[in-house]
Order: sequence, then C-alpha cells, then structure tokens
Amino acid sequence: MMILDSLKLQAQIISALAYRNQAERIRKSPFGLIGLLVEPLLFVSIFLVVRMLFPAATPPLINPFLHLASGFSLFFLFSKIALKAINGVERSQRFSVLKRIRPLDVLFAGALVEFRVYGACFLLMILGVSIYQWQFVVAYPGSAVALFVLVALTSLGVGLSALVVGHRLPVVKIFVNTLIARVLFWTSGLFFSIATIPGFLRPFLLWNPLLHGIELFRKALVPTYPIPGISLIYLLVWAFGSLGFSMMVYGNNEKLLISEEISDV
Amino acid sequence: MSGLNTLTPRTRRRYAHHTKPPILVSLQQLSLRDDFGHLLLEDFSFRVRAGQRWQVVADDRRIAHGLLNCIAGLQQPAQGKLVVRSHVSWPLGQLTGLSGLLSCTENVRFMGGVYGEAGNFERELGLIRQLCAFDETLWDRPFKQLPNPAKQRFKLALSLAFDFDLYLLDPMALAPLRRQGVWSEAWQGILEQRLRERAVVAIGGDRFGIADRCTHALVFEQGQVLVKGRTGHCGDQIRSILRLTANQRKRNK
Repeated sequence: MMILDSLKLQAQIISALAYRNQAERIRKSPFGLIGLLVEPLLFVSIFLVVRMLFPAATPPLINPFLHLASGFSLFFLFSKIALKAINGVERSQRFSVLKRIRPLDVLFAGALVEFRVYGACFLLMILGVSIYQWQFVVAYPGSAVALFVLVALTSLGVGLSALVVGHRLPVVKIFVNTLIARVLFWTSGLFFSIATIPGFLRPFLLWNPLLHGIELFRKALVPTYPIPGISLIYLLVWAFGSLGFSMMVYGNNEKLLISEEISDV
Repeated sequence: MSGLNTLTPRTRRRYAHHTKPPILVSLQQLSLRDDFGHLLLEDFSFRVRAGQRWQVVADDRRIAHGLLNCIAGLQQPAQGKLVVRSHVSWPLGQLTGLSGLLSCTENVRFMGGVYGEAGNFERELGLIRQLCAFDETLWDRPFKQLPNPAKQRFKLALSLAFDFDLYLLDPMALAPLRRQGVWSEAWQGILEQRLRERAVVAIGGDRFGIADRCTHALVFEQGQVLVKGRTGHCGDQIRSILRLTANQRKRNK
C-alpha cells in the first residue's frame, strides 16, 4: 500500500514538474506553443532543401521528407533527453528547498516533455505528408509508438548512467556529451539508410543502437523499407539494459547527487 | 503517546506502527561554517521528534540561521549528516524554486502538484488569493515582474497554503509584511491553524507569538550549547533568554 502511495506521489510530482518545464519553454519561445513545434519542423525543412541538392543520397522506397523527419525526430528525442539527463542535476539543485523533488523526478519530467514535443512534432509531419499524398503513411502505428518509447527509454538510460558515472569520473560525462552531440549525429542514419551503406562499413555502424531505432521506425512507416542487419532485440537489450543499469547505479549513488539523506514522504 | 496526531496523513500512515513519536529530522555530528569559512558549530547533534516545538536562540544569529537553513536544505553542512524522514517545510516566506517566468497561478499549480493532496491546487489557490488580495491583473503576470512587496506576500501565502509535519520559522519572513502593514488577523489565523499541532523549529525572537507553546529550547552561547531539551510550557523562560540575548547583542554593538 505504501509503495503504491509513493508511486502515485512520484507520478504526481513528475507531472507537476513536466507542466512547469513545458510552461517555461512556451514562455521562452517567441511564438509560444507553436514555436515549440515549428522549430524542429523548420530544421527538417532546411535539411530537406540541402538534401535536394544531393538527390543521389535519397534512399529508395520512402518519401524523402518522411525519411528525414523520422531520423531527426528520433535523434533529437534521444539527444535532448540524454543531454538533459547528463546536465540535469544542476537544474534540479534549484529545487533543493523542495525536498519532495528528487533529481530523478526532474530527469523524468524533462524526458516526458521532450517525448511530448517530438511526438507531437512528428505527428504533425505525418499528418502533413498524409494530407499531401491523400493516404495515411504509417503502416504499423503501434510499432511506431513502441519504437518511439524504446528510443526514449534508451536515451534516459544512457543519460542517467553517464550522469551518475560522470559524477565520479567527469571525463565520462564529457565523452558521452561529445559522442551524442557529434558522433551519433553522423552515424545514426539521419541522412542515409543502412541499405545504401557498403557492406564492409555496416558492422561499424550497427553498434549504434539509435541507428537500429531509427531504421526500425522507418520500417514501421513503410513495410518494404530494407533494413539489413537491423535488430529489434538489440534495441530492446539496449533500452532495458541501460535503463536497468542506470537505475541500479542511481539507486546506489543518489546521495552523491543530493548530498544529504532525504526521504520526504 | 506516539505523537501521530501531530503528523500529516501521509506521514501518519508511514509511522502507523511506531509507539514512540517518530524522529522527523536528525542532525548527526554536524559542523557548520559561514560564507567566509568561519566555523560556527562543531560536532553538533540534534533531533526533532513529532510534536516537539523548538525555540532556537543564539547570541550569534548566524548559528541559528545556519541551523535552520541546513535543515531546510538551503545550506550544506561542512561535515556530518542530515537525515530528513518527514515532510519538512522551507523557512516560511523564504521559498526558492518558484519560476520567474510563470504567473502566480501557474506557480501555485506547480506547487499544488508537488505538495497538494492528489495534485489538487484549487483550495490552496483560493486561500492564497484571499491572503494576498492582489489586483486581478497581477495573477497572470510573470512572477519576476511582480513588485517586491507582492512577491514577499505571495511567497509567505504559498508557504502557509500547504501542510507540513515540521515547520521552520524565521521571524525575518514576517518583517516585510509587517512593514507593509498587511499582516492581518487572517494571516495570523492561518498561521495559528497551521502550527496548532505540528512540530516547529523557530529561531530568533518571538514574532510569531508561539513562544508560550514551545516545548523545547536550544540555546547557544559563544558557539556552545547552553540549554538543550524539554522546558515544559516555558514561555517566560524562553522570553527571558530572548531578552538576555537581545541585551547582549546591544552590548556587542
């Protein structure tokens, strides 16, 4: 009974933090809520224009806009959640006087907001393409939602692990920050499809779980989309493995992040 | 007497099997330093149990403030451990963590999600509106754009809107409202209602008017503990200590 009570309270706190986070972002954006959604759309449009200059790179069997939109939505979902988790403790220290709020709540709330923003954004893009083609473009909506959730869980797991380990070894934080912001941007299949990559290069790229997430997501949109070497099991292992590991290290090191033992009820 | 009736419902459920009043806050072998690194307290241990009402008096006000801020989480101890096992308020009126970008109503909604029962905030919002008595336009303005007196009023009203197991009282919080002349019977009534049964740690003078009901006293002189423990209903004693320290402060000046 106490556990259920605590879970309910935590859900309530996360929801309040997510509300505050979202309201603050809307206030900061010059165009309010619309600005929050339009920003990623503009980003995709700019890359689409750049892409048109190199038509040879366009992958077969999928609408180029959908190809870019799915890659960007998932990549930014991943990077924003993970980077927020890594750098999130400084932010959560603003709440040091509100003892009910733990660093994990702040991270979950941030992830929830990113999930909502990029989910809504991708939905808008899907609707736009569907109206343009006068045909619903998502073949397996259930799989697409599940993959969106899996990528979000992976990012939370990676970010939280890097945060806790990085607290003891700061170099880990810097390394993961660079890896997410630089290396993954070019190797996660935002601009290419794994089928267009030469066979000898694929094993190097296939280490990246985000590439698996993005390519599987495209497959959920277009069932004929080719995904050689891509595995759902690999993504599942990363999502639940990283989340499980991060929860374990967080549980053992929470005191490091809040410096005093607090157990508000 | 387990003191459970002095706890909020959530904490009461947690300690339902306790026969002794549960420990709400415990400071273990704590050392405190001021902003310049000077040692204020060393190897100090202190516990607050459910229902206890502590009046902390010190000739050096940095000690009392440091202790209160440490319990509130506003200041980190130089050494030692702080264990909080209950629902502890921030020093009334000194609420940090509000968003300057959000309006007062949005801030109440956020705080209601964190501290309200089942995330509701309507009752609290009504109470805060009644206490603050702002012009309607102020409620939708970003908090950082509010005039300072309105901010202080809002922070104190927000502090009184939620129920805690242990209240931390700093008389400095009341000073701005008294200066503005807005401290009314309504404010005093809500304060009395909140503090009626709950545990309290109060510092400084008796501006909250609760010294009569304090059950414990903690008195520091020159960084050393002079009195620590039960004093019964000893308003007169505490007041005499307060007078002594006030006189000493005057002499020091």
